[in-house]
Amino acid sequence: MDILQSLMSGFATSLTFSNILAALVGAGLGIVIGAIPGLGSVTGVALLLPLTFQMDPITGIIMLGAVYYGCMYGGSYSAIMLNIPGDAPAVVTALDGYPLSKKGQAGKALFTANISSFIGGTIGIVMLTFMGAALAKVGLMFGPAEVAALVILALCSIGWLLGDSPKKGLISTFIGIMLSMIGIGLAFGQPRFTFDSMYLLNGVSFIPLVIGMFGFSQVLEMMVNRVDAAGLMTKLSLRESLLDRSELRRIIPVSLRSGVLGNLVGILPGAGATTGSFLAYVLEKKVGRYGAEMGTGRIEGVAASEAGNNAAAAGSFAPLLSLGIPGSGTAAVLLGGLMMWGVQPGPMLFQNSPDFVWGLISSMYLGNVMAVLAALAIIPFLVKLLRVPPAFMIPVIAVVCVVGSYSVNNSMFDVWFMLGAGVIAFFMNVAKYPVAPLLLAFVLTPRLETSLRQALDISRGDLSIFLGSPIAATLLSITLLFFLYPLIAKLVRTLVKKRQTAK
Amino acid sequence: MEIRGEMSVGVKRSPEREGLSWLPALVTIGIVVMGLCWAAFGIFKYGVWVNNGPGGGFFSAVAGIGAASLGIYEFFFSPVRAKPIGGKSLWPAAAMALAILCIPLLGMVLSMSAFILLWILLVEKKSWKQSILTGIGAGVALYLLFGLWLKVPFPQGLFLELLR
Amino acid sequence: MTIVKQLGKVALSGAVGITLISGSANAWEPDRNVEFIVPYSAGGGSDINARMLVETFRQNDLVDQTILVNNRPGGSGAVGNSYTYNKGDDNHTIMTFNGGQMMSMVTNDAEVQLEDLTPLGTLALDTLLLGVAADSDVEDLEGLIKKAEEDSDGISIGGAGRGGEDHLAFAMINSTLGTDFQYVPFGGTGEVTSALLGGHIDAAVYKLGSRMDPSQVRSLAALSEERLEAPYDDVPTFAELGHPDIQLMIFRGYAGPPEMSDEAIAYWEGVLEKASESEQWNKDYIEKNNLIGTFMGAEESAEFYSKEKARYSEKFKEVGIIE
Repeated sequence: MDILQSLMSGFATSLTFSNILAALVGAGLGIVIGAIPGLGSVTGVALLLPLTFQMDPITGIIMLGAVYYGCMYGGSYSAIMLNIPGDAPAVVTALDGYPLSKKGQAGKALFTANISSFIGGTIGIVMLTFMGAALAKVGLMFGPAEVAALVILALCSIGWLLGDSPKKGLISTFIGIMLSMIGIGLAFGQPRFTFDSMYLLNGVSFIPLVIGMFGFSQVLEMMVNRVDAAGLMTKLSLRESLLDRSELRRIIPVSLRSGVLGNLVGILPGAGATTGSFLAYVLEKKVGRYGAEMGTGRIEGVAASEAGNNAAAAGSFAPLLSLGIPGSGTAAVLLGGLMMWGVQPGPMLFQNSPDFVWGLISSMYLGNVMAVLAALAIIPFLVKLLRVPPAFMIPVIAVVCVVGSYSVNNSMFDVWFMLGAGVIAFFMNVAKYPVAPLLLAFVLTPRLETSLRQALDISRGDLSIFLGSPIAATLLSITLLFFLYPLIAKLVRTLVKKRQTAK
Repeated sequence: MEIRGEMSVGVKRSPEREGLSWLPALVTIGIVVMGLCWAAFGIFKYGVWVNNGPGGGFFSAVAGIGAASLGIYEFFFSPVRAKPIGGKSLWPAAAMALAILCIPLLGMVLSMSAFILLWILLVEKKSWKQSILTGIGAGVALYLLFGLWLKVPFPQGLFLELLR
Repeated sequence: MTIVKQLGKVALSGAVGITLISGSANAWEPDRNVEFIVPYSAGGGSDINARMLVETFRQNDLVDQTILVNNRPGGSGAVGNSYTYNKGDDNHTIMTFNGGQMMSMVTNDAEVQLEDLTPLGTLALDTLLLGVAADSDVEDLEGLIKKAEEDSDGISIGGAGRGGEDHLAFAMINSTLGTDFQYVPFGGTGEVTSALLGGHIDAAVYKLGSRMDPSQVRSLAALSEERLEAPYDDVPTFAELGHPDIQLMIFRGYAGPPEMSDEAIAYWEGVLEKASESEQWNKDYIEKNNLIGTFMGAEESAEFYSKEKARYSEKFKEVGIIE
């Protein structure tokens, strides 16, 4: 097979001692950067890009690929252990990851995250290898109308996460939408709710918001609930942290499903890894056997989110390599790197520089393997870290929150914003308003607004653009069906009951 | 959804009527006010329906009205059950606000190590030795990781500036 | 490229001025770390520009002190602008300053304006093009205008952002041609390309520096002053097509705080000029990013910027983006 042959020759160029070393170093650095709240893969790759210019291009791209994967792995650590998601997709990981930590199963959660990241990433890369060009073409079929329909589906699925207090969850969702309206939106160009502050002109910064709402509010929570925290510290041992066979069997099918779905979402222009991991999570909650328990600390939840997220990240490379269009922020930074090495991404890339492309693709396999090895080696140390008594944890986490939110934009405004968001989230928590729907609505709404407006600008206000497109129409019908289903089911149940009582 | 997992643990404590028991009502009022404000701006300033489609105020209006009406419902019809949490939990926020205020003077690294040191010493009542070790250790780690390696331009602080 | 030659002549006259100033007794040189402000996030166009410039300074031993890149994103550049403005008379602070940053000053009526900063020099120019997908039946500008008349839905033209370079270029095209094109803003040129190749929009405006692949996108006309180099050498300029008003050159330059001393201005102007002549800058930055290399000194840049700013606000007013 042609592709296999090319891939093998790619491995032949990439599997040298120095390249493997570069991948290992890159993966380690990536994990550290990714684990620090406030720094994600975009920063990681951008920071290390200049370093790689001195290297041979193949070694350079291998190192960056490993950094990228390392960041993806590391991003889940702070979400699981401290309830501080390092980036948007990790918000979904925290939903089940942190409750697991609280139950004393942080180690299991971390292992699950890494193994499912690996599976998701591998699915993503394999699909990229064999169907990259075809997938990229499918991605092109998604215009503004189709993306809008997809985001509507995602946004409405937040409803499934609301759990036992739907009204409060809905209020949180609305607050998220309201916060996302701050700043100059792409769709209209008018400054909204900025209160004449230039810091709000580009909207509320997501990472400081997340660090505050999850992380800092956690610190406040720990002040009073430290007994819970201390109680679980003693239980942790490495052996208990390892997944047993039945647990592995539980997460593998989840990871496979989520990986495929995440990969497909990742390919779409402007949909992003968050939509990928979130839809994978929601799918699992809907169709999985333990769906109802997800959100209370199920390894399935962690697996779905992490596999979806890593597969989506790999998917965003398909348009980059086959069309020269960066599908994500990190891909855009990598594009800059490719051009620095004199490689012109685009439809001709596979013909013009096959060595490089297959070197790059094989480096993704290498990076993924190195990242999972490095990550698994780190887990025992992480688990030990959790044994630090709360007396020391509280101030240190508080400082990490401050430094992390400062580092995103080097802005003191963000630090104050984080602090405020933390206190407000703590109040909301006391009043039992969940925070996660707020953050998901915050990420998804601007995407919806932009795509909706783009579609209507293109059709000059004709709403039929959503029904005329088969993809958009299908997605909208699925949304409608999912939403009517509980109502219909309820109706049927009451009717049946009535008939029974009538008898 | 209970993301913090309290429900799953199933520990139900009796709602203590102390500390922040008034908080849920305040939060709900805040939500209603915010909702009304967003709805008003959305409808009257940014426009709900523009050029045959949702305008700049569409989502603000929908979310604002939704939040405000649900908030009013919660306020009157939902029993307010606060979690038993005392005012003590706001200490870290207050202390951190103070530390952040010191950043222009002492710089990021010094303020943050001072925060850790004083917190462990004064609030957690640990020994001098432990406090100083953790404070300085964290400061050095911050400096090495963020300042030296990642080259994050931390505020230097007036103090260091004067020393130079 | 003729444009470079022309500008080169001007640069030469500027260079004479610099040697005169730096030859004087109280020449200024940085004596501590220099802060290089980038008002956009790490990894963006301005960030790459700054980091490449620092690398050029380093490899050619142009600046003795360490230069630290400091990203201050926010407010479409306003946060970085105001950070630099607040440095007052600090000679050790420089900032990247580009066309988009100045446009957002105009459209957002920002507090810190061009007059509140000190232009230091300009090293690169970019321009824009109008194009359609390569498999489109539209062959030239005439064809696009004709299609707009026939198509009931009209023509939609995608671009990156609202109130930025792409939007301004669109506005110039639409108002000068008197057409009823619809502008559709996207999050970035990548998304524009996807929508164009997927057939969701009819045409797109994009920067020369975004290196649109001619095998994917057929460029119809360029907003440059002169014909561009290969592979765009067969694309006519709007001027050649009879619309000399549709012309836009975006600059990538540098600015300092408002009260930077004359000696420091001369110093930075000098090192920027040397950087612009270095082989590394031209090969690794200008060429690889598909930009048009140039050098404009401090004074010339100031003139150019204020002339462009006036034009920006006039055009934005004309098409109703600002009041």
